[in-house]
Amino acid sequence: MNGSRHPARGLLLAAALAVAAAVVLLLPLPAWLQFVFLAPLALVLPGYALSYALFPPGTLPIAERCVYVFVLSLSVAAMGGVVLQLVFGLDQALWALLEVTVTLVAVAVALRRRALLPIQKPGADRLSAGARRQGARYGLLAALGFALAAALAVFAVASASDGVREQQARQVFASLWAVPLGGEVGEPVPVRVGVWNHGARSSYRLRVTGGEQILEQIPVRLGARQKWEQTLTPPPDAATGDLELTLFRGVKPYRSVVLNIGVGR
Amino acid sequence: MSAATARPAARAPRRRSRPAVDTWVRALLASDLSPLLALVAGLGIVMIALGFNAARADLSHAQPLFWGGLIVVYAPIALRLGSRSASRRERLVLSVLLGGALYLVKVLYSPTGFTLHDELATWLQTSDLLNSGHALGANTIVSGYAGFPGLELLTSALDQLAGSGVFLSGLIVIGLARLLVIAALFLFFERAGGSSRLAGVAIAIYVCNPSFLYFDSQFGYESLALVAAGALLLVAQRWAEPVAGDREWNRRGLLVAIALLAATLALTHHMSSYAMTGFFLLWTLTTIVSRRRPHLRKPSLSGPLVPALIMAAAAASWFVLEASQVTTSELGDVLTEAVKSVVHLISGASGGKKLFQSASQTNTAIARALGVASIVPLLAVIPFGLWRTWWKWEENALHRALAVVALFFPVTLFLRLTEAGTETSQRASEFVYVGLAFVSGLFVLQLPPARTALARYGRPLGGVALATVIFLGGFIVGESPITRLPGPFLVGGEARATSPQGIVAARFAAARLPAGSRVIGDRPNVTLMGSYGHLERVTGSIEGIPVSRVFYSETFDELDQRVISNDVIDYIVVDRRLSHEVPAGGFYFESTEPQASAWNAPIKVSALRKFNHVHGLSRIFDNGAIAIYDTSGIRHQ
Repeated sequence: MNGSRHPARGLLLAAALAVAAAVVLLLPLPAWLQFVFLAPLALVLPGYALSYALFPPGTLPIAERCVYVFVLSLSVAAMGGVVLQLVFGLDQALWALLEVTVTLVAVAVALRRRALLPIQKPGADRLSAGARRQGARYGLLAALGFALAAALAVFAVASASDGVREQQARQVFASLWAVPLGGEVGEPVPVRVGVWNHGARSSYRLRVTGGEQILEQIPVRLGARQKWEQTLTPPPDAATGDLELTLFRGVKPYRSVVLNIGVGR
Repeated sequence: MSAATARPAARAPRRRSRPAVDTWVRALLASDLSPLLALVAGLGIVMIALGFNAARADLSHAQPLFWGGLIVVYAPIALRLGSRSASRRERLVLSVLLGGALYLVKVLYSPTGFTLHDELATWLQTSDLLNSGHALGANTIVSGYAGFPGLELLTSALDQLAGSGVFLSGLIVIGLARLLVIAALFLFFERAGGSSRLAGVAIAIYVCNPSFLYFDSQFGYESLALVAAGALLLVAQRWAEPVAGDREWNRRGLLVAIALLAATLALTHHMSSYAMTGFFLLWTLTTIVSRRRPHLRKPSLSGPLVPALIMAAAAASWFVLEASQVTTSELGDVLTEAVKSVVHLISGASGGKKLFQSASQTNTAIARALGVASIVPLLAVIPFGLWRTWWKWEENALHRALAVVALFFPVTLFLRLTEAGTETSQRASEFVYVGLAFVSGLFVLQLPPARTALARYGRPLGGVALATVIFLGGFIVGESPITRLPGPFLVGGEARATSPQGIVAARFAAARLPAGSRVIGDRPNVTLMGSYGHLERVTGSIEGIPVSRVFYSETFDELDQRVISNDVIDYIVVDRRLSHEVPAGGFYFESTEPQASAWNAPIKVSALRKFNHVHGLSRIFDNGAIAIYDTSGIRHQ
């Protein structure tokens, strides 16, 4: 029907890519390679196959088909996901099964409908050799222009990301926390204590007091963005009342938290 | 010619150079300028990135860089879209380029993570879906997300399959949606108006809608729903106004496509599905009403009635089956408040809000002038659209329907006269601008060709200057002065109130506090706790007592105790910086708090410090700015 061109090439490629993506899932490939194979399975392949099942080759302009490819992929994820999650928990395997199945079924339908329809217009948009050469020269220039524009966009995003990081780096602070880890009423409650440094390398001293007594003093040295955690168990006579933890930077108290342990626990 | 040859020889070179310049300009204009304009847009994007960095460091050159960058991105492309010489392919590429470049502005705004309120709500919903494997769980940040899981499902599919993480997956999904919604609208306008130039002009005007730059680019369900709506418009158009007789030979394919897209839209976003139902019904109505015939025509199944019925059935079914509660709770409040405020405004029971002013922030005189100037040409083009489509020339039902959609623009402006109506107006803009954009395209298309050189070059430049004013003014109308650019921490400043201290506190909560614990706090921090922190955000009131009262009462009294005990609050998040200034956005905790938009002094320091002296209340976290209190010692008192 369509001369020497094989109009089903794209559909067969979509089916092959869907199957290949399913295989890639099982292989220990680098993350970027997994992304290259599997992102189209979510965003392109099911929609591509469905668009050809609904609108056979040669019946849509390319831009319109691109719109349907993405939105029909959304349809598969949204409707398929809503139905499947009623019965199963959605996970990677189930998503892969859904996307691959829909792609293969839609490819089959598209191939069948393609055979039934009498409209194919091979060569309607063929260009002369001269026009093709001119187009190729222009295409090279255009590609260069768009590539440079894309490079500028990447630079802009990288620069803005640096700007955000610099803004965050100007916020110098440290967090202190203490969380009781359960325990019975009247029993000593273990406490998980942590310090998170969001500034330059610093030395701290953590003082733990119960009632009027200093129970413990712990030196804490942290680099930038480092975290320190430890579980403390107060002595039995501190089972009720306040447990105060004070973080010193130098000789000055810097942060403090107060746990009312034993009351209401 | 004989007269010309008789003139002095000294004038000959001037006469020869004119056509040479003209030929050069014509040759330039005849070529495809899209790669060049992409480069220019790239430079504009770099300017905006540098402007945002300067704004983050509170430097004065932030504003010129940002506004200059916007103009560099928009104006050259708009100029080319309106020109007579660009090819159809170039116009399509430029339209998509414009949409993509303006999407990047939002990416540059928060390039390392989601910070906007609705984005955090979507993040929460997606994160819950990834953790539980089930969609449709409750959302304590924006209730509506619980019933419309399209975006979360596609994002989680991409994340789980490709391992790209929620943030990158969200950027990719919304970025693709942005590029393709512009492509869809271009094709829709082009097919409706029969002209790629009309479509290009319409796109240049559509991107001026106040929601386009940030709201419709955020990681939110509406941003994705718009592309589904665009695709549905295209299929419905193929059904109602068949291309190459495709309704005859591909009836089944078209019907299945309409049904699939309508169902997708219905479970992706409430407003978009209702807006599309309304538009298809309006389009059906315009096919029935005929100016030339006094009687009504019978609606035909070969017209837009079929898409209207399918869309209505899909939206109604999803509403009944799943989304009634969340839709009513989210949209019901917004619409009820909007209607109430308009009724009060008309009856004189309350005054209007001050335009171009949000809480403590006021626009500059230039910004106010731009805002007003952007509205005037759009208002002026509406009567032309109605005249052109209803009284003159051909009877095209789709043109008429689009002209009627444009007529909603003044209504949305009226809603902006009230505080509560502003949100409804803002949310309607992406739909209303479809009509406005189309009639603007019609207007430009029917302008007679320029006859003088001055008109030939002056008219496009004047036109693009006007379009740029509409673009900048639209952004000013839609975005508060405090959130147009990023910047230093600002109390109650939406994204600018999302600080590293708040994010660290939320990360601590996620790691160390029981998931789902109930927490109260100021809006930005409690939103972080509700999303990244996996806690349950509590707002509103209990037994008639607003929960926010806990924060501004001078001492911890019996009413505060009742809030903590009866609303089962597990944790209180206190941001000590609230006592530094009044909230820039008008409220600290929620828009319904008693002093919302009326704070004339910050919360007292003593009101925030009182928690340190409540016996039984444990301060379990402190990073200087933010403290978290555990209420387990007082909750049962």
